[in-house]
Amino acid sequence: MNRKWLKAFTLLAAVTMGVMSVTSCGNANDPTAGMTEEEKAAWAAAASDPYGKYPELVTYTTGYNLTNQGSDVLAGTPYENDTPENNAYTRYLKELLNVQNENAFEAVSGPDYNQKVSMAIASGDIPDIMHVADYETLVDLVESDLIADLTDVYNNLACDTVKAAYESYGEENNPLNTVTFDGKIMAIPKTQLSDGQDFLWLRKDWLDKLGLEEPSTLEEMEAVLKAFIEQDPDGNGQNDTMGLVVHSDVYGDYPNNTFAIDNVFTALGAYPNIWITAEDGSAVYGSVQEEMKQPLELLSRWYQDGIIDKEFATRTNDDIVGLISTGKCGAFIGPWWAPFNQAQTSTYGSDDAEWVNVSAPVGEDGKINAISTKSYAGFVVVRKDFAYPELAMKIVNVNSEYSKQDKTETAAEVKENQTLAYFNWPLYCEVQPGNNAEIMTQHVLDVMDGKADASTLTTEEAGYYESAVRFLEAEEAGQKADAADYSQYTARIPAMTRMINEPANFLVPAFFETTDSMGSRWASLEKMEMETVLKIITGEQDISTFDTFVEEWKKAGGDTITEEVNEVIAK
Amino acid sequence: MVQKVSVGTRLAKAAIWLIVILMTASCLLPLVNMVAISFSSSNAVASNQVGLWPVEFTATTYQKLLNDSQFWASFWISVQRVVLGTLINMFFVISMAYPLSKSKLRFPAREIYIKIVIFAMLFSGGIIPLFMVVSKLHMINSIWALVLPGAVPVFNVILMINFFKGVPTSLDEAACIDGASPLTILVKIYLPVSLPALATVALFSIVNHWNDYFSGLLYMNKASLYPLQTYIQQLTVDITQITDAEQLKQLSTMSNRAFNATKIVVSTIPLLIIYPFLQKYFVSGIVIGAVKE
Repeated sequence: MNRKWLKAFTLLAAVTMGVMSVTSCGNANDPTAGMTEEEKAAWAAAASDPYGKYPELVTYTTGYNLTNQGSDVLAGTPYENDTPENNAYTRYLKELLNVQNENAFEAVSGPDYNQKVSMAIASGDIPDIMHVADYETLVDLVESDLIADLTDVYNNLACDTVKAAYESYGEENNPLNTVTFDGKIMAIPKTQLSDGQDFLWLRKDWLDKLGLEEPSTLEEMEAVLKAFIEQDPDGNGQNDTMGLVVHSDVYGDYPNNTFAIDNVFTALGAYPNIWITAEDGSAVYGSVQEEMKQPLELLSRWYQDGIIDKEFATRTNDDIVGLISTGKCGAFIGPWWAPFNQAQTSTYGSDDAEWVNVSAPVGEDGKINAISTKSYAGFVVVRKDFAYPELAMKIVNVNSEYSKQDKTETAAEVKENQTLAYFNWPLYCEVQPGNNAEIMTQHVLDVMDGKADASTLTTEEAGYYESAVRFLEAEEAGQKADAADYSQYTARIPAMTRMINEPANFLVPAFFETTDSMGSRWASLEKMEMETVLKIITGEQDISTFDTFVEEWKKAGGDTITEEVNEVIAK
Repeated sequence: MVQKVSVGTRLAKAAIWLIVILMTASCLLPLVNMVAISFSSSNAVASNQVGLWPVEFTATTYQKLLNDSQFWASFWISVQRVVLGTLINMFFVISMAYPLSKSKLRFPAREIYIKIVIFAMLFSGGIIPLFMVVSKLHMINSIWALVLPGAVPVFNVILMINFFKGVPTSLDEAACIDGASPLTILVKIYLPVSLPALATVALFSIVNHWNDYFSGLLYMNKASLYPLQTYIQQLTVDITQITDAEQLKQLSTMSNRAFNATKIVVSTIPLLIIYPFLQKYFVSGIVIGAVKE
């Protein structure tokens, strides 16, 4: 009995495998086999044109980045039955290029998506085209020879917008440098917009009430914060307001870490949490330099005087948002898009708060000292042997250039979906110049000032323009504008205008990635660093602890990692 | 003297009560907070004002939930998974625990099997090998990927072995003399007297299947196939740290925490319903009275 079953099973397995190998053979065949010359020419033409439409539907497998919102945002819109394989973006690409995605996997971008990518790589079965988020994974893929060389594809097919965007980062910081291995372009880098500098966001209504000027230097900032604490800016007769809220991480992830106070450090010439170039040209870690002492001493004094939140070390992000939105605090440090934070939108709605971004605290030359972000934020790679490698470039072209200028009915859906923000573009790769946010604001301002016509705006800019118009109309009528319009207007127009008019000094870190030893040691080193910083600020230990910390840091692996970083840079 | 002792005892009792109450509170309060958030207005939630009682009471999020088709699709997948998964678990637990509960005399290879079982409990292959096995068996994206990799819950098997061991051998022998086959003995004698243990094991399985989000994330490559907890997990992924303009756009329309809390609350309801039904079996001592010594 048993034997018989075994035999039957083996036979079944053999047959299945046979069938499978036959089908996979079919896939591997040259797609042009058995075509007439004319058909071949049509396919070749499509493959060599940045926006060429394929004669027949081309299906590609991919990994799809989702957003972490419930599909309920689509409920009640015409898009409620859309799926990641059939939505405004995929329909648009199908219409334009005659291509269709088949998702090998879908996941929310971030850790979930990255895990799917590592699973696909581990099982040796990667999709035709996919987005990978980190540099290590890209190196892995290149070293295990799984992805295609895209040099020709890029040189022949990249649209002008994409090429110009990469070049706008300058020769040193060009995202293409990162994806070039032995002179071959192995991926299409997604660009990371320059996030600009952090600002000191203040309640303008409080400043006006207390008759204060906008601060600029550290001393002026301290005076304003003191006034916010002592002079009852909310006018309720109670001593219930506080100075500056501070993220429990104090600094890092510049400038994306809203409430972190890197600017206080950089104003005094310290650059914590990044690799900087020392005077002798080598790379050193900013957090262990002598310059750290001065800001730490200052913060320790501020903590003693109550100028920064006494409980900052134990507050979560939600706690801080709570403090601001209940009107207990009117000062925080954050980037130009801080108006999108609930902290601001809720005070706008309930408290008539008016927020303004101030260039403070400034360094010696009167400008904010800021830190540059890296120029890339992910990569699109193509599976080796995929018959249509140019497809990846074409989709990036459409995403970055064509769709923005397309004002026809076809693009209307895409535009609407941008505000719904439930689906992302397939491949999740938009290539923009580093200062794109500034450029877009400039265009919108031109239209608002009557210098240009609204029809000159791209679809995305038009969205911002409409938000601004709605906001201003509501304000003029004495009403509260929609929170989304408030955020869009305040961030894109007044805040961005200040960013353009009050430029900062930008320091480009010497190194962005990680090295081998960091995997095992970096987490504990960072923990040690943050503990020391918190202890010094809260006054539990005095500033002399810093020297002991630096010694320990070096011994516990800091020196090894510094050497590794310098080796990688030297390569 | 007597009073002194009783004071000490009372103090000890009070301390025990205090600890128990604190532990209960630490389990219960987050749930209460979640319910309160789900019934509060989104503004109150955003400004972190909600504690244990709803602020600006509203049930709009519950109305909104009725429109979320993916929530209900995922809910249905989870229900299927619990039913199928629990049946499979119970089948394997019972059919494995019964023979392994017999003495070495009647089942000589018992020790080897027990060791294999314990080995499997202590060591696992790791995520990537597990994923590759499941993927090579073409179970990715199917409900089988959610129920088969955990088909034999080893801990529950050991629990059941020990319970079966406690069943008096005289029952077994009496049935044997009456001519019952081993299978009949299992079904007619062992299972009825083991209801408390079976209920416990079933509850473990149900809770386990209902609450597991990770296998959904790992084996389901389409978001439309996510079971409920995976669906909820991906809503609560932290994007407070914006890293690109794409995410900025999302933030402007981010669905609010109150709505996510509603989803979490609704997702716990099925378990709250099942629990009382199984609880009546947790009364011990059913075996008592089956044999007269």
